[in-house]
Amino acid sequence: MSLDQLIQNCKKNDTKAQSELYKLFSSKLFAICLKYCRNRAEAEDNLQDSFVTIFKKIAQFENKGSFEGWMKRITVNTALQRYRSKGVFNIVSEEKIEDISVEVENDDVSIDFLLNSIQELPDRYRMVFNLYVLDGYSHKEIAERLDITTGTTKSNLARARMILKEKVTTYKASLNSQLS
Amino acid sequence: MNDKKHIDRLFQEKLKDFEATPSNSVWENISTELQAEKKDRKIIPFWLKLSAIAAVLLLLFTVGSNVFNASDKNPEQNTIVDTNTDSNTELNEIKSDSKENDVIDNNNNLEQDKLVSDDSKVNQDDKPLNNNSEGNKLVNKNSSTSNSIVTTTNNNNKFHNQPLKNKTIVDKALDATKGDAIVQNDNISNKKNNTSTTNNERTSINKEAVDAAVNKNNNSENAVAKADEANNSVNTSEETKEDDSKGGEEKLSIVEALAENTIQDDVKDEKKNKIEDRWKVSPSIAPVYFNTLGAGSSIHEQFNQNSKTGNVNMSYGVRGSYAVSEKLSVRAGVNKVTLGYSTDDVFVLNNASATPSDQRFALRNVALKDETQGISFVSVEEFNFAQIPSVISNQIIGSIDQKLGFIEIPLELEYELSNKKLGLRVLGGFSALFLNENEVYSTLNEETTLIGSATNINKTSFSANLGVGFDFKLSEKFKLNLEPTFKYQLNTFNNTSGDFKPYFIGVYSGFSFKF
Repeated sequence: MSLDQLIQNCKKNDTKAQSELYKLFSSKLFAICLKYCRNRAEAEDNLQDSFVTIFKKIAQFENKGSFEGWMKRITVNTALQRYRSKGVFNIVSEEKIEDISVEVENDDVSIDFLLNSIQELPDRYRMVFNLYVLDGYSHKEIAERLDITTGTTKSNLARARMILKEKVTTYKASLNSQLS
Repeated sequence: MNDKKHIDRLFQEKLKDFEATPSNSVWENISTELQAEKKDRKIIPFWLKLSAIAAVLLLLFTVGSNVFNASDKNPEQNTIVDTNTDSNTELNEIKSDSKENDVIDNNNNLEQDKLVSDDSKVNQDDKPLNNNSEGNKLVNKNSSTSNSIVTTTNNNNKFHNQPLKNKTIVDKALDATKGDAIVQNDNISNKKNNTSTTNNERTSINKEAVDAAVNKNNNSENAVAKADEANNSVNTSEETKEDDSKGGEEKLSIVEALAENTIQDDVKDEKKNKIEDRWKVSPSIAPVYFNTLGAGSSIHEQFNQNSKTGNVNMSYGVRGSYAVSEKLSVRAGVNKVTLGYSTDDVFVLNNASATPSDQRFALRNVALKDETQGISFVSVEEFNFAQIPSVISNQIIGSIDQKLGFIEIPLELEYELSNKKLGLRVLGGFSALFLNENEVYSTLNEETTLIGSATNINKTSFSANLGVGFDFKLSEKFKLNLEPTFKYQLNTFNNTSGDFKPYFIGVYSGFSFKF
């Protein structure tokens, strides 16, 4: 069955088609959820909410743009909504963003470690880092979406990078000490 | 072998094609939630809603006629009525309707006989009535009081039997709907249990999320709306981005999808904002029930306390409406409406010697026809105190029936509460009523005679209207309507006595066509 046909059937609330669509895309969308959420449990909740929204709104999708992109957008939105009101952030003054680099061998950090590092970031830092670095949104757009200023998003991003650098460095150091 | 790498780059490369498999419980939760929603939507079948509406209307009529008319009776009579109705309902269950009528007729005949015999007693005394000796007076009084009690009970039976039957129907209907509702509630609660048990397997935060999921619809809508706003900035900022390698192809496809979605959404929004069919025309027909809220009479003050029976007549007409906004419409139309009610417990005295100038018995607000000039009307309530006419050729308990016809021009506002397959509206406004029919009848023993016309009815009057509208959407353009409407008449009658507050209830049914 083609994707178009699958979408058509999902629009008719066909349970089989819905299950099929879930099988096709759940792992990709779950990856997004894992990046945007604090842990696996919340990521699964977010995936559930995202799919329910997708099936509810699928009638509004008109086969014009990329269907996958549309689903990803809903998934990201669901995550942003989830952490929007939660947590109070320190008001951070705008800092000069230095070019943060970290010495790293390509193979010696696992995806799990990187994912955990992202998940451990404070909510806002995690959102900004994901949106800007991994999903290519601009500061202006992130600022509008999170209802903060671009100064704040830039500063959040810098802090996120700093925390991540710290984590990777420590991780690498511990690996080295284990080896030597 | 160490090469320096930007931290962003490290994450981008590693997480680029990252995928992960969620646990199986996620899909189970999703399908449960989706199915719950499907069930929710179809949970009340149409016929059930209709029967519920019918039950409510029946209840309204029953309660209305009981409450409004019960106030006409004094408690003592009510107790008599109660016992009688009890025995009568038993009878009714066994006997057919026609037999029931026979019973009432027999009672009436008995009544007559009794009265006649009473009269003969008076006559036997051979005393001029003017000499009201104490004893005589006492006899008369006694006989008349006993009569009045018996007769009113008869009339009450006639009157109360119907509501009683209605009540049992309503009760039955209610029971039926209750039963269904309970069954369905069980379904819902089962569903809920299912979800909660599956959820229990997950973390406690999970529960919080499920709660949130209930409200999620609104939230996600907001989020999408926000995203749409944000999309514009994606388009503009897309070019200004320095680092193309950052997002890669995936980024582009997302941005594309977003942009296209924005366009789609915009088109949809435009469609939503524009009301395509502003005009609607709807013919309708309705049974209308007329009665008075307070104890009063439009005919004569002596009938203030008499029981009034509202008649059910028909009203039909057509109206057009114009949608001012998506929810609010203005509507106007023209209806032909006939209203009528009966003043019960009236002695109709065909008294040859009574003159029209005898104000005691003349109907203040009715102009009698020439051939009926000789008839006098006395309320049963008044009878104790009325001087008995010297020669009573015939007397019977009857009723005075008033029949009024109007051309009604309603002007109403209609506000839509729900626009689903079964829509719900509230409506309120005014009607101008132009009198075109005005007749007063007397009914004696099922025989109706036109006796004249009322003199106290305004040619033009107004009513305040309040109603609820249900409609069933057959297609986008074509709907079936049901509108129970209460209309309170503001100034239809002049010179009424007591607390006469006329109203009518119509259950307007019809269809509407949008264009």
